[in-house]
Amino acid sequence: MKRWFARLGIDYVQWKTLTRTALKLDVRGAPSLQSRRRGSAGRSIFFQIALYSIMGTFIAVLLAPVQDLYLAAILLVAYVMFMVGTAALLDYNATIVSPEDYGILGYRPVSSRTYFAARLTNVLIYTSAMILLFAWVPILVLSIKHGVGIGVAAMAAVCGGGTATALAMVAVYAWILRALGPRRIKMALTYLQLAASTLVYGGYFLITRVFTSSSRSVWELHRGPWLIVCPPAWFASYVDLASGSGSRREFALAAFSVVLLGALGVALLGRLSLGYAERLGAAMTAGDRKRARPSKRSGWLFRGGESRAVALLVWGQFRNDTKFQMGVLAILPMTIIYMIMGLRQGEAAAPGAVRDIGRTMPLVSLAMLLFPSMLKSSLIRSDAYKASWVFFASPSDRARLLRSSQNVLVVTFLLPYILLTGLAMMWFYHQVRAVVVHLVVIGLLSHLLLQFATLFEPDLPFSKPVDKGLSSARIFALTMLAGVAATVLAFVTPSIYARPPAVLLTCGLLLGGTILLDRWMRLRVEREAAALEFLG
Amino acid sequence: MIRTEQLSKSYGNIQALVDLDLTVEPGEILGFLGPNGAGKSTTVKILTGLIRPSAGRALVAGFDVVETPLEVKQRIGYVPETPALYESLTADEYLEFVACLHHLDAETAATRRSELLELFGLTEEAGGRLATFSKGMRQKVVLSAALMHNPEVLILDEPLDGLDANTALIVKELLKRMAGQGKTILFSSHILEVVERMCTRIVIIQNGREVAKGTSAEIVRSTATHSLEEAFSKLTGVRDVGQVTAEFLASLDRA
Repeated sequence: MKRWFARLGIDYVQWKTLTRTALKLDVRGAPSLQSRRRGSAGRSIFFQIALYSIMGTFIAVLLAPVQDLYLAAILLVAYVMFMVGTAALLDYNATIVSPEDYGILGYRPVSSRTYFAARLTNVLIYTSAMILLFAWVPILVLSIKHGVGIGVAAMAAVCGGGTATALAMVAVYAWILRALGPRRIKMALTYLQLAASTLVYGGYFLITRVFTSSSRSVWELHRGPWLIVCPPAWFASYVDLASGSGSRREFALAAFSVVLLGALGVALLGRLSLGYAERLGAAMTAGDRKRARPSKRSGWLFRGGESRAVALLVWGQFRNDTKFQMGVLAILPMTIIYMIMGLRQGEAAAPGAVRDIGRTMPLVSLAMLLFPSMLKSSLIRSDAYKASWVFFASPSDRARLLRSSQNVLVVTFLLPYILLTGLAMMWFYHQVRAVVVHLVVIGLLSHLLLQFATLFEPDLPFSKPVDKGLSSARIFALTMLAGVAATVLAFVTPSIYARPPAVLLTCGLLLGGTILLDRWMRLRVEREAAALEFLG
Repeated sequence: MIRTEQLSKSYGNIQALVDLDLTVEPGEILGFLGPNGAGKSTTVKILTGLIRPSAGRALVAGFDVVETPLEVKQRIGYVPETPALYESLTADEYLEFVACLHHLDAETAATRRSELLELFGLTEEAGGRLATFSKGMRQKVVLSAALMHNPEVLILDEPLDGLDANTALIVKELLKRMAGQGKTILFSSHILEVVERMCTRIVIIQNGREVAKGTSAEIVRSTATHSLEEAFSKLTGVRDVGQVTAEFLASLDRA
């Protein structure tokens, strides 16, 4: 083993030490600063195992009626690739773009190649674990239904697809970081994350839509030439070949996928290095001499006390913290894709009456309902969590801090987002009254969901470490829940929007709920705050 | 003033602090000494309301830290040993942020900010992000934040860490004058010379218990040593310094 590593220019002992340490750190998690959060690492792992297994079971149930084995395999690989892509965006970008290592390892006798090998191993271990947790149920079902050979081929397909996605994401990051200077890296990272999330979310939905529309009646795949440009089909062709129904094209696709994996591995070799970490380190201090503009925004709204403090912090973080920026801006590509999909599917046909507005573009309503939870999650978790000691050592009212952070989120992000989406809908529909009614209801519901999110996680702004692996899991869970909510909404709204008194009653109920939740939150926060200790 | 009565803190089976009785009077600078892991930071964290004691009581500025934590926090200025900052904020924004948390009115906050930035020579850098600040500059920001609201009690954990000689002189002089004005100051540090020169009284703790208290001269006398450094070593050192270093160097030579 040592000799084999040496041939690749990797120090085996160092590689083993670096990999083991990174895994140990990840399993232990970042130390929580609040006593009631202790022991959360175990809970987080259990949560991930349970969630991925449940999602896998859900997919297995969805795929059960699909008679065409190739189609089932393509859908399964597409889901796995989407998951790995999301995880790479939300959870493992720190593994790829962490500048801290340079400070720790920069003066140690570790070669760039060894460092890179350890990094890549870390990413691949997480990818494999996620794939296995997600895919074991669908693969078991496929094995029982079609035989062990098909199960093995399906396993190879999902592992290949997932690994290729992870390697491709790492390669793109590495390439961008090499191509740009330190001053432009942070800006580039933001755009890169936005583009990648558009690709991941858009790709996932487009693939799902293409397949469901092309096979809605017979659940059979139309084997057109477009399969050549569909990455999940390349890896799913293993299953087709194992079933004995694959043609020369599937064989070529399978061979191409293997070559692609090898090419990605070779292309990456030497890309990520300590030199690369050094560039990132430089990026962190880039713009040293640039003076930041003072924040005077919404000064009239957040004039003093906790609300002004939280506003300053949130604006400062949004200006300069790429992760927070991404957490907030990730909603935009999602919304745009949902709108385009709505328009292409004919869902954006101008509703004849106010009552139909809730049924049009249901996925856009989904995005509006999803946004508060995404905001809340991004607000709480931060790499700067250790700086939250200042909240514990100052005479600030924690309930007021929480309410203020909610208000800042509403004024700074939620309201502009809903208004912007509303304007776009008005532009498409030319139904001002209908859109306004819908926006008021959705807006109140969104705010209510933000309150629920706060009640569920009554944590101070930027006070919790980012849990590796949990952000993407949280997004998957939220997407499922919001999907259910959007479906219910599309079903319920026509009867509400049909009569103005029903609209008024609904708004009244939502407002009442908001006030009640506010009271409840205050009580809960006061109780929780008494048990909080800072352990940084 | 600061007063603790039988103050204890345990983490599971580990006793970090055992029945500590501590008093710091207004106008006094108390040097709080102890080796690493003695319980200094635990004491400081209890006094600042960051953690709660397992037993005993702590009063700061006349208020109980457990029963009325907000009253205590309103009156203290705290410099942590390893202060984390929101690095995306500028120095000016961070000070404004802290002023808001202490409910200072905008005018007072603005005046204090500019005075403190001037005092620590940070006026030119006020618009720079904290991420780009050196260790010393960050420490100046933390000190400024601790003084923003003109606190009655100052709890300082290694406050001179990273400061240049000129700024250290300013801070030392400032602390002496603040004590002269009747402020209560708890000064925790490992630099014995500074503690000896600055503090009116010293308390040394070891394994969470008090092992000595009094003026520097009283501690030296009671331990029959010649300096505070020797007294500290005698009270808290478990090994013979000369012997262990000689043994280590010999082992290096053998290797």
